[in-house]
Amino acid sequence: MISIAGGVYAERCKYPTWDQIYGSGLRAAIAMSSVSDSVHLHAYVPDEWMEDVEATLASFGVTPQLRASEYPMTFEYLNTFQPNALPRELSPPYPDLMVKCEVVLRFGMLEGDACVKGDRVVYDPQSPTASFYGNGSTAGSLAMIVTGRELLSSTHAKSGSGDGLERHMPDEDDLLSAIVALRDLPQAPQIVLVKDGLGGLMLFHGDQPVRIPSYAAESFFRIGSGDVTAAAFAHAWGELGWDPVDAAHYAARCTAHFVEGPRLPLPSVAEVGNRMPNKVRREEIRIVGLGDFELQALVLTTRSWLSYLGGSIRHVTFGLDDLDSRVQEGVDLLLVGSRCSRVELEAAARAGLQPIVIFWPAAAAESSRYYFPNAVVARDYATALYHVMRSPER
Amino acid sequence: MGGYAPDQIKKTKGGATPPAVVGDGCDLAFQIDLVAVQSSISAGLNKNDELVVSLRIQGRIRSVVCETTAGAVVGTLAAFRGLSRLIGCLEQGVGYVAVVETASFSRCSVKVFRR
Repeated sequence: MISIAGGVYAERCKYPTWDQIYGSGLRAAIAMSSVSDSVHLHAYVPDEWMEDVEATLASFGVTPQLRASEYPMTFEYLNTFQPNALPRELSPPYPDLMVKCEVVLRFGMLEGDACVKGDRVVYDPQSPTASFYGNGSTAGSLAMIVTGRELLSSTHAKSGSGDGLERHMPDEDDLLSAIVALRDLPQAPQIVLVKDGLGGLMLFHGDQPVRIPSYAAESFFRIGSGDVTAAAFAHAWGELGWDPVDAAHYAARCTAHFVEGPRLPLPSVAEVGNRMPNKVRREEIRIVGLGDFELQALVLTTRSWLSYLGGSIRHVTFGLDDLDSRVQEGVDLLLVGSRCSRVELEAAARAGLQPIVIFWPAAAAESSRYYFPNAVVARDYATALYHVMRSPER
Repeated sequence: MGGYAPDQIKKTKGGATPPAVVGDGCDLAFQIDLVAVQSSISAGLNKNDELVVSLRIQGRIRSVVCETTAGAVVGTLAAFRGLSRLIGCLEQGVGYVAVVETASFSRCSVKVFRR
């Protein structure tokens, strides 16, 4: 049995189209419904969504412990990497939800918080300033799941990369410094999992950090992927009592399963056992854009995104004029604009351009295979970035 | 495609947005991703394939599923505004059809209309 405390929010995404009610709490509850014998969801739910949320929970056998709220909140995304508008925390917040269970999964929320008491507790604060024990919560063993930036902020550690670029995953030395600072606190978590933003994790448990790879996925729907990581880890470590390393590998495999859809609920251990680990891209990335002004703006944005995800950019090339000198070096990512002509594509193929990954929103399968037979062609942006940064180990 | 009006879809955002409701309150029309997609079934579907929307009760689990005409469950309709109304209408005997918008081994998006 597990109790989950977490938010229920609307989520809208433009590309790909997505318009549903989830939030961390509801997503984790549905995720765990396939693997746990009893799931309870503690959440604030807007009055106008209450019946629909109850019906959703009933569809998966989840027991509702819901408190009515007055404020529907919506997360808006342009693509699954890029939020457009995020709701603000409610001020003043609602009173804490009270949760007591042997195994608890607690997420940070916007309307208030949950005071939880459990033997094994997984905590995803979803904020750099939240404190687990600050509201009277207790845990026999505590595992925290955070982003690298949340970890650095919560321990006031500074990034020492010195290259001026903000990265989703700080350097390992910076993470270790933050972990040392965290362990100096009076009530330090026994386990810390740091998410790398692409489905992989860094596990801090014993003396040495353990790198958990992301596992190979054909596509990458990022919204809610961290919720699934937390849910899978809470099931394996919290409910099944697995070793943290094994639990983290299962969580990373479940995350790969989820991002291919999004797919809920969680798969069984057997279902994800054969999934291949990814290798992290270490080489410099070469980007080519074919199209007009808007496409060039996208190319520059892409350079920033890939840097944020830990990539290092070798060159960015626009159009065919500069292509000849670059083709011999190889191309990792080709971005094809909506007004890119057939003539341009034929010329690119004739010049020998054979990119590894293509972001081509308007791609028809036949024409993409004709021009670029060996490339991974992605019609959505997050999937393209994912395939540039991660590829299955052979 | 007789029996329902695809044009209604253009007026409806579905998902977290309240579904368009007219008449007796059961003229629902929305587009949504299925949850708990059965990979082997979904992988065999094509755009515009028609699925049957039906209410399933198994123990304490009551869900709305989309099935092929052969009776294979493709996935569950859940996590959207209008689900409780949809259940109420199905209980009254109103019929719905789900038309496949996109389908793969990992994802199935459908447009749901009243029959």
